[in-house]
Amino acid sequence: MDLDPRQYENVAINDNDIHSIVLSYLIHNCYKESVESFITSTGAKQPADYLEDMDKRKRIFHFALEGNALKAIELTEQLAKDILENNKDLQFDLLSLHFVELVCSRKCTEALEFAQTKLGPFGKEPKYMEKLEDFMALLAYKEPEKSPMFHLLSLEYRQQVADSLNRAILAHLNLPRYTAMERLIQQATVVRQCLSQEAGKDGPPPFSLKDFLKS
Amino acid sequence: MSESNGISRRRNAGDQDLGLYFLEACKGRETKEKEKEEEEEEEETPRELNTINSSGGFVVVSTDKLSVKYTSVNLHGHDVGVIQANKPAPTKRLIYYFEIHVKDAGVKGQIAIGFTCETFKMRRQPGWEANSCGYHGDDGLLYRGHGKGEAFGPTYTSGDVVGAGINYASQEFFFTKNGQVVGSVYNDMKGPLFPTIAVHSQNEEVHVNFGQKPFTFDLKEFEAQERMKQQLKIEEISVPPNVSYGIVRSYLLHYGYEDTLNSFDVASKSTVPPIYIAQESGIDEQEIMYALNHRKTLRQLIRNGDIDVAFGKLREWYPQIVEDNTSATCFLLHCQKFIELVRVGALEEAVKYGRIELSSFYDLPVFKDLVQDCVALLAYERPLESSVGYLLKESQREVVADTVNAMILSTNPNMKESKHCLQSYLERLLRQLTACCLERRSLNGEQGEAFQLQRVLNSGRRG
Repeated sequence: MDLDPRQYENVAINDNDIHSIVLSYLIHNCYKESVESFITSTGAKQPADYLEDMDKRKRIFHFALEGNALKAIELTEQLAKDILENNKDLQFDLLSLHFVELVCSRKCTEALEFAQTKLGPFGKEPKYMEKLEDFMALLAYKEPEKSPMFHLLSLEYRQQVADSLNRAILAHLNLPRYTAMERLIQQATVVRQCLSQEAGKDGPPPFSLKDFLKS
Repeated sequence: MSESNGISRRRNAGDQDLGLYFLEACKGRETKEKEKEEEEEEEETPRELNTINSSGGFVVVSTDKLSVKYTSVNLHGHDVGVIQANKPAPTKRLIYYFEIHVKDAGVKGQIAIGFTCETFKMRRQPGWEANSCGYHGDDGLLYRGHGKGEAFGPTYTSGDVVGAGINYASQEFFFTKNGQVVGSVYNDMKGPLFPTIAVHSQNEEVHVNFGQKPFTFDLKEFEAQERMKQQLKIEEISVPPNVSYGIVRSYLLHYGYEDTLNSFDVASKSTVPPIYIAQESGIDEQEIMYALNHRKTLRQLIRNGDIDVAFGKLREWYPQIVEDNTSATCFLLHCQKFIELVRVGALEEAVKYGRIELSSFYDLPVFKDLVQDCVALLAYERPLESSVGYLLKESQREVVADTVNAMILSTNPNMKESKHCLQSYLERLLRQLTACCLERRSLNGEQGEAFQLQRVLNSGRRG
């Protein structure tokens, strides 16, 4: 790393802050037992609102992750009607997950019907049109896993959608959307970017997480 | 050559570095926090008008130095009644702001508000000279160093409240009228900037507010919005999910939180994409998985104050760490034993223990401070409330536990760099960030808000 090491050798790190960062991650991901174990092992302060609907969030997250989008939607609406109403992108993504489930189970007629009734209405807006077309294309293949759109069937895609849903619920509960850890990494990236821009050739290179971790 | 020098040379170089690191850490902790707080309070702020460096003869200033009245008759462009604040705008914050209330717009309403530098010609309107800016009430124009102004906002007159501010985050000046932002312009002025007001026709009178009274403009809300804007920009940066997972996991491994790690692994099994491989993300887990169970045990013992048992386990499992009774590690453990005795009120035993185990450290400069603080505990009926009360807190036990943890990690033959024993990736990331922010601020001429971790940690909450 090109930053003067003397600068950060002297930076004092507060244990409480470190604990908050770790706890923020654990709470975000609904790892209830880990939170409890961590608090016991470290003597960290128990955050006030951490249990807030954690069990519900966890169930919703897992349903979305498994691809059971309808159940996830149902439980989310139980939690609060307006989470999905105010977040059309998310709603579309969740419905498309269900569509993918149907395609994977080879229930093509049902998939088509579902697409026409539930996804079609979104198609009026250009940004959903493209997405819709990608999804519909899956129907054209006997083995959708081998189609160019195979990533829509992947665990990673489901994880992405589940993450968005989790963040939307957190925002609704007035909790942070992003974990402290993510915000730190984002901050580090931005500040390093500014530094390399402002200092020009003499400054440190843009933040590379990989390089940092290897150092 | 004194005995003490002989002793320190017998210790090997590796041990010297690691144990002492933690010794320094527990000493410095409290003072560093205080220093940071003090730095933020030190900057001077404008509180009143400067009656010395003003265009005397054209204005009269009230006794409380918060209002000004034009006393002359406006004949030409060099008899403006200008007055600056007594101090320049402070820079170590997000935004600086002040307001004027136009009590009387007089004959021509030629009032101005803005910023000027120290050497400003005190008979001209702010904005009419280079390196100054002013928002004028008679024409609503903004003047930035030339006689000709640019269209900016509405005019203002008697009864209006007009404000001027410097936004250090966006490097802009902004002006408000009656609580609404009127506009903003890039700030390219150099040097300390003085809040400035001017009056230029008969009977004009202006009152100024440097924050002693509530502003008409909702400054707090504006600041919150600015921070939110920055925050939203930052949130656009995507962070790969594996990275957070890896950093948290490595933290748990590093400090030996085995139980939490087990819960964590069970819970995360279903959510982390199966292709996660520690090495690919750059995190080396091999180094820190070493002796996990031993480290967990020792941490628990120390956190419970069972120092004797801890010593026993160390002699059994890692004798090399405790064989030199004058090492920093042994020192910290002995101090902790002493502290634990004081904690339960066994003062006589504590004194005896101190005489046997701590006295040899009294003369060594590195250890002296901590020994003195420990011994000082004996002097108080309620040591927890004294200046050395910090020794009785959980945090002190944590320091000792962290030291032992690092020392055990250092016995790992596969440990590539000894400094890796000291802190996990998480702390290193945090340090990087703080250092970067400090560097960035110094590049900006020390302007803008100091990096406050708390703000980043709390920035996610809205409302």
